[in-house]
Amino acid sequence: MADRSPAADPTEADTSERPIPVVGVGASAGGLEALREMFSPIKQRTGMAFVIVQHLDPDHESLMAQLLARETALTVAQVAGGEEPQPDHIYIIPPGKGLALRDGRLQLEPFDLPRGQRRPIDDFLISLAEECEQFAAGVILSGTGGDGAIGLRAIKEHGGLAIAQEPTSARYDGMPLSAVGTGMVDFVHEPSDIVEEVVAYFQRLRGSSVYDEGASEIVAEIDNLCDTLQQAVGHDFAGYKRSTLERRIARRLQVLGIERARDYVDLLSQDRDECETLFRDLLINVTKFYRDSEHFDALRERVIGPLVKGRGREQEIRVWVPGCSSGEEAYTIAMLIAAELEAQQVGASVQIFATDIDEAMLEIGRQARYAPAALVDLPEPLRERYTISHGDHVTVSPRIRDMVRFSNHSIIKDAPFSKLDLVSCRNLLIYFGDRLQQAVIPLLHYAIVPGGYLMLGPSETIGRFDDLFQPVDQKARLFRRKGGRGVYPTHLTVGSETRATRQARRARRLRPDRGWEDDAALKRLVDRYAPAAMVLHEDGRIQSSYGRLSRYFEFPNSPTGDVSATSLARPGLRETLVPLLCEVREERSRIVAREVEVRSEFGSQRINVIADPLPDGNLLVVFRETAEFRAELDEDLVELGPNDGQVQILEDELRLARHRLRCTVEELETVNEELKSSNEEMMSMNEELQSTNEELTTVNDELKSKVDQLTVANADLRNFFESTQLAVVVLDGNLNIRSYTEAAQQLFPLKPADRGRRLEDMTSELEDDRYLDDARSVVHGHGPIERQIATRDGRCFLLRVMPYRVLDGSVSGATLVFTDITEAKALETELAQERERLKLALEVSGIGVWEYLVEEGATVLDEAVEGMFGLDPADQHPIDELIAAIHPDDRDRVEAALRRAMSGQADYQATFRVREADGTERTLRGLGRLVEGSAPQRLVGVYFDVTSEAEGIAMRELLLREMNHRVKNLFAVIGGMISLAARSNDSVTDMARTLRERIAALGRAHSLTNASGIEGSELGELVRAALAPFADHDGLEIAGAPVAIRQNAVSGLALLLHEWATNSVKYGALGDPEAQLEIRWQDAADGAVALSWEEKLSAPRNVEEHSGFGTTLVEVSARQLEASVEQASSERAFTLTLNLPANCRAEPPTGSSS
Amino acid sequence: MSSRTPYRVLVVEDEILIALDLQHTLEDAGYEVIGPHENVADSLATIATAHPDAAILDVQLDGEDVFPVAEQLKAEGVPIVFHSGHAEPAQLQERFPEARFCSKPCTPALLESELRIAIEGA
Repeated sequence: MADRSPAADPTEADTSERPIPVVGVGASAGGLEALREMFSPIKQRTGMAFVIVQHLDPDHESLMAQLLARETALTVAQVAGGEEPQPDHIYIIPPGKGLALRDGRLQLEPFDLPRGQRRPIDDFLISLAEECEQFAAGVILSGTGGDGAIGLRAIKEHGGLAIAQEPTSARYDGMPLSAVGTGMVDFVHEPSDIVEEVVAYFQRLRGSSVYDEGASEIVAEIDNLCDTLQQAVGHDFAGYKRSTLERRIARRLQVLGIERARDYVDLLSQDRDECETLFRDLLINVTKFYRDSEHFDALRERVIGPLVKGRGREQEIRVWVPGCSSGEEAYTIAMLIAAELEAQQVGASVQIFATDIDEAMLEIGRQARYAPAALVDLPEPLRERYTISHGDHVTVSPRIRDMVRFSNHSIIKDAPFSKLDLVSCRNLLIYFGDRLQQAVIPLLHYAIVPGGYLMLGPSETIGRFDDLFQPVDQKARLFRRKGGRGVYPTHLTVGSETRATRQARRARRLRPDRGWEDDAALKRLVDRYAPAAMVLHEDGRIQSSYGRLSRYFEFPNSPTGDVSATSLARPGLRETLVPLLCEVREERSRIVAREVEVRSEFGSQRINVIADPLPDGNLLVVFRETAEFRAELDEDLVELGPNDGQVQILEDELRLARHRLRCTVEELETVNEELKSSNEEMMSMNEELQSTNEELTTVNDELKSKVDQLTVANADLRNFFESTQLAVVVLDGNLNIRSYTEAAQQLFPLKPADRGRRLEDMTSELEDDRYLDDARSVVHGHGPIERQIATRDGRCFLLRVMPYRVLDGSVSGATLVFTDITEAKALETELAQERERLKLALEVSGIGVWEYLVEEGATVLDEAVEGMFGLDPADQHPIDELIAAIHPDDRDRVEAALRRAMSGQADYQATFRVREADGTERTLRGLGRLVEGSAPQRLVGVYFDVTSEAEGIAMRELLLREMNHRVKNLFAVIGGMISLAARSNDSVTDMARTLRERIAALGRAHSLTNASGIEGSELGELVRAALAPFADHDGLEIAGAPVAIRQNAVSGLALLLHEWATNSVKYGALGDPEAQLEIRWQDAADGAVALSWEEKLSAPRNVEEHSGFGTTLVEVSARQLEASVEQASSERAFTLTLNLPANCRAEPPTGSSS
Repeated sequence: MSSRTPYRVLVVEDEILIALDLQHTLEDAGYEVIGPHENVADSLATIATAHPDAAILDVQLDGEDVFPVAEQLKAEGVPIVFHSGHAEPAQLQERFPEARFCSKPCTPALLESELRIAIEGA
């Protein structure tokens, strides 16, 4: 057996090499449910194509494909015609069309037959069987009627697989029951198990080990199989053709999934049902009315014509159809003969014996009920005359039916019929092996009257028996029996033991209460000592007879079973028997007819006839003699003459009445058939409608839930609209109002009654009516339009006109949405103003805004920041570009600050230098903050240029340091002065005074620093400051061009001038009110400045001058200034000259020398 | 101050009054003063010939730094006492770790004690 696991799934592999199995599924009422159950469990690939044929109402669109597609993993499509079946696809028949598989494609075909007589399932299955043969499977699901049964048979005949739904699981069990009833079904399953079974079957078939290797095994076991089968069913297949047997047995093994033929033999010997199944499978054959039409044409012309010709009224035409299967051929011959009889106006009676060994097939034949498909080859005149259409089936007319007798009879083992005019033995010999064929032909020779005919199948011959038969039409396989005595071929009969076994079994099966028949004593008693008796069927047919009956009945030569007792009864009894049987049937009690005189050609006998109803519905008729048999006398003839004539007249009348009655009955029957046919058409339509109704119910349920959803969605939408307070007006294609929201009423005076009115006709609060133009163009295919629109009272709306699209995407109107943006508009203006102010402020303050997108590592900068960093304008700058512009010493610090800010620990704050393109440096200060909850993270902040502030701070620090230095230096100088003064002064008071004066002089000189705004001090200022305590002296004159003195020289110069002035007070001009002091200066060579101090005294100068601390100071100061001091004095004059070197000047001398 | 030859101390100071004061102070304390010098060039010239035992240096001379002198002294292993109103002591400490530092103005006693530490530590 093939491994069923997906990995070893043979369907995965060579699909191209092997044909795809096609599964035809027939369903009708209740089918939707079954189909869903059948297909929903499919999870993996099946490797098969499924075709669903459903009875559908031709006037309704079928939703089956959509409904089924939701249930299954397979691809579902309604057939459009021309599809090649693909694996794992489900194809569904469309309404109003027949479906067939021809040349590997699904074809849609119009129905030939009127509604009610269509059998789409049979039609498709038959085409499927012919197309795919053993790769076809037929599945019959729920439905009423019998459509599909014949199709299944066709599938089976071609070696395919036949499956029916378990009738108890079907909502309507008509179709499954009739499928099961054919005896052709391999499996009966619940719908959910069917697909699995089919998959397994075809996997076994594709696995092919059974088919190929098993075959040889079957050959080996075939004799065993035949033995077992013969034991079980009493029919010996040993003489049958081996190849056919092997093929059919191999198929049976596949169906059962049995790998070894040996196992199957074991199964057969244990399982009687399996024997029956195999028996039936072995007997399957294909038959049709008028099959091989040329042959039957030939038969009609060359055999039946001559046979009928010249037959008298009393002459019988006897025909035997052995291997008749379901009787199509027998009926065909019956129709041909009947037609010929009519044509030649011959009244001969006809007996056609149709025999087979398959009781199920015979039952079909007896019912004479066929699918229309079986009649396609039958010539129209025959069909019209001898068949009655009933919608989905056809019956053979009763006249033809009465001509044919079906019986269970084996040509091999049962005694043959005799005195036959024609034997049609078609397609039977092909199943037989050579030995059996050789035996059958002589047997037929024996059975046929000299000059009678034999008809064989297209591929059968009479072999070497041309001494027995001569060909009439070789092509049509028509032969004529040659003269000569027929020899009964004894060697054909099979051991009676087996026959008895089977008959006993059959007897048990049919009439289980007749076991006593075997009791010899009883039998003897009944035969010899009991009165003659008969068991009759309710309708008068003889079931069995006991004792000597020939006195009461006239038995014909033929060994037929179904003979009416009344028709055989001898005069006298016949008249009694009819009413007696009628009465017993009605009364169901024992009734006796006394003193009945039965006449025969030998004499008359008085008897009592007792009719006794049996429990099984049959009647026991007992004939009890009441008087001696009286031999026939001439007087009696005379006596009874008139009496007899009267009876004859009555009988004639009765026959006439019967004839009339029969005509009436036939008429009634015809009407009845018509009514039945109408009824069946109705039923079939009802069924179609039921299928449709099921679909519609399902769809309706779905629609109902959709409606519920829609209602909710609608409510949601309405609530949504109301909550947004949007003014919405929906227009249709002609700009008529379809719906509107409450808020729309503030723009248009809409009332519920306005729905359907043109929007154009509505007044509106809006200033202009361009919205109508917009709506018009949107309706005509323009895209959405957006516009601002103002109302008369000054409010502002945003109008959005959008196309109103229906499901297929086409525009069927327009939606006008008005959004009140008055406030937004005001806000917008306000915002714009605000933005303008901010922008101005930023511009004026030189502040730039920046944004750092942390994750992208990019920054968004405004122009100001770009300018600060010297970057070209761009939408974004990588952060690295900014970092690169930062002074290398500051980078780490800035990056650290950024990291801190990004982690959210602190705001970003950094001051750093950037190098401009021209090489200058600027100092920038940056501030920023992580935007809280921003994702991705964003840092927003500002940058501003703090270069000037930074420079100011640097300058201040420099100044401070300088001041600090100076002050400290000054303290050091003062300290030095104190030390020095202490060495030279005598009194503390003097020392304190002179020191204070000196310090004051220093202070004055230093107060000049910075005051003049130049680096250092101006010489004139210094001189005046030094002499400030004496400024009120009349003789003091100070003159000279401005000369800038550098800062370092200020202290020294101030001390020097102070000492000079102090000396002058003590000894010179400043101590003398009349004296004059002239201080002048001028440029000297090499940028030096020469300062002269000339005193002109009124009295001689006190020369008691001693070299004190003051002198030291002058010397030290001069030395520090690198200046030279010259002194000249006379009695009334004293001159000092100070030569200041060029390095005492703060700047090179200007050109002027004034 | 014992009978041994007095220590010879180089004084570099551009402010003459302070220089004088230093000179007096040191001489009173028994040192021999070399200088005072007011600029780098004179100082370097003197070091080359006079080989002082120690030096007191003003840091900021008129328009120049005293560091060339200090480097030279450091190279010759002469102990240094910086005497200045400017310059961060830390900066000097880093460059001349052995040197002592007196911030202007400072008392004669402090200066002398620093000088003594410098000499004795050398």
